Amino acid sequence: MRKPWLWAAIALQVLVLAVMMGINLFTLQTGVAVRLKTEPRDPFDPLRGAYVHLQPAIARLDAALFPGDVRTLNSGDTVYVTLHPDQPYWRAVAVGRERPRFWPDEVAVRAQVQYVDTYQDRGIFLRYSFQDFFTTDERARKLELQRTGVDMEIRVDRFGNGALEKVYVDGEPLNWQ
Amino acid sequence: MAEKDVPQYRRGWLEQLPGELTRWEQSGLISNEQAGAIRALYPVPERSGSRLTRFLTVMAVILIGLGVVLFVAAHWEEMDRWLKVTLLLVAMLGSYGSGWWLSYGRGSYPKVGRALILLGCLIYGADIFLIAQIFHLSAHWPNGLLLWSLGTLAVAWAAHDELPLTLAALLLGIWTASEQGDFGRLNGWYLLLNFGLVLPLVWRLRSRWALGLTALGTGLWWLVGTLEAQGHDVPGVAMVAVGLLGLALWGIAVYGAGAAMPRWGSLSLRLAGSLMALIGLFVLSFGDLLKNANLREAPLSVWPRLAAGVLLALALAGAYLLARRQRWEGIGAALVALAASSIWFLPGNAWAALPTNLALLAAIGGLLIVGIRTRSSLLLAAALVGFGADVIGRYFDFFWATLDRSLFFLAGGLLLLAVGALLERQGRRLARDWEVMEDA
Repeated sequence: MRKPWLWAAIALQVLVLAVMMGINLFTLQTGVAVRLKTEPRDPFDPLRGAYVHLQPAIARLDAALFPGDVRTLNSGDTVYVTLHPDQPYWRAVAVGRERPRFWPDEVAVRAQVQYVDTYQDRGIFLRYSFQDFFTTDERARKLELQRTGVDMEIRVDRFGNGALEKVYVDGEPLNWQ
Repeated sequence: MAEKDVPQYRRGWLEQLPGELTRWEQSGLISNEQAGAIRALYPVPERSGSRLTRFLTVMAVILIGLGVVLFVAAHWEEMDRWLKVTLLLVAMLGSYGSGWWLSYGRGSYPKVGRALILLGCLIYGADIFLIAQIFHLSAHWPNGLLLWSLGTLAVAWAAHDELPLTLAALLLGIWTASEQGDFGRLNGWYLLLNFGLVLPLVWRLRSRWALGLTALGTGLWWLVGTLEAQGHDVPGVAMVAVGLLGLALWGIAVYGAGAAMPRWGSLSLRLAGSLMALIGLFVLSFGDLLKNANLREAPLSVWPRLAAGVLLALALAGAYLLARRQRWEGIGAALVALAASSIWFLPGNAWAALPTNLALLAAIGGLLIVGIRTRSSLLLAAALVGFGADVIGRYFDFFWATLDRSLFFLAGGLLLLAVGALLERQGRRLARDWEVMEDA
């Protein structure tokens, strides 16, 4: 038996990998460029290797930006953050469960709720899909020590997907393959 | 089937049969299902050289897989993004292609071919995480494990191969532990995938390793799920006790199911079941845990109680299946399950651990006897490890401070003497049988 279905299963695996790349490339090609202020952190993941966790300023939002009772938000919930262009960085102006209607120069980017701090009222903590920058150990450590002067430029497409396009250190873009 | 069980006059015929079945299939005399049924009815006794070949080829592909990943990682920064992707895809497709050719195309090295297909599955998993790195994707990371296991399961179904099936069963277990442990999700999808996609193929391929891993994974799903169910309104220690009790009861149910299984699956279920039961009972044997858990008074909702009731019913069903083969074993398993479940009704003090301690000793003793009777070194090893852990645990358990600890060690020593006497009585016959098994 030559197992013809085996090639269908392998094609499925190749399709999975292609879709992973395709979604990211689509966002980079068609998305709006958004610049954000960040603070880098340097964790290590045995499965994923050395990387820098880029914490954008929009990772923590004021609870007042959410219409309704913020205690209804649970960890793992998907929300959309509306970003408005400002100088030098874009800022968050609203957050909600549905993709919002927004002004022509605004964008809405998808995020996942990590937790909501109602005790000390520190706001809504979010996680985005573009926060991890994979690099060498040495560069990751340097970036972590940098702490300030690190910015990221992302692309946000019409579906709310965000993709990391550039990382700037003191205004200069980092080179990566 | 061990070589020594095969009648001499059938050995050559059994070894010729697979080739003949392939010929009959190709000429349309029998269907693929009929060929599989005949092969299952007359398994060819595996020669020790064949087992060695399989072991070496699987170890070889694991080493090659690791080597590929490390080589790429060492030169990562120097490579262009698309060169990296090309390299990863070529490695994966090359492994699958050569594996298919050696197994099914030319068919001259089926074992090496199957090992290369397994390597392709391993490289597929590495590709998922490496592509996420290349494109700086930071989505919900357990999804990577899920995609890896589903892709591997697809290959297992398509190739009807035990090796990727076992890998898929292992990956699904790791996936559910990550989803539940890191993100606090119940993850009912795990049960759906296991019972809907994995178990049917396990049955068709008679894959004992995948069967054992699926049973263990289900126990892990239960345990992590109950541990994560703690919250502001749910008492943490009580849920830990519920989780461990459920694990022990599931273990007894799985062990009992092993008695009803055909020979190919019996040992793996017995082993998986005994491991889960011993672990659950061992942790529940500590008086301090049960004193703090105090299940009789704990403000638990109906769901944990209902779930524990269902698991007790499954454990008793398993005991019934055992009793049909060996009455004392079934009765013993039922008593162990009932003794463990008594923690729901006992007051919240250290004496609540007495039934679970007795249940643990009974389980260890029973496992020892079954291991000796069936000549299973794995079951014996599990029993001895359980006994060793129990002795060490009792030394540190403050509960036993209420009794003279020396009494416990005396009792343990007497038990070992009794086991030693039993072994000596069986000694000559056992030693001869172990020698035959080592030669095989």
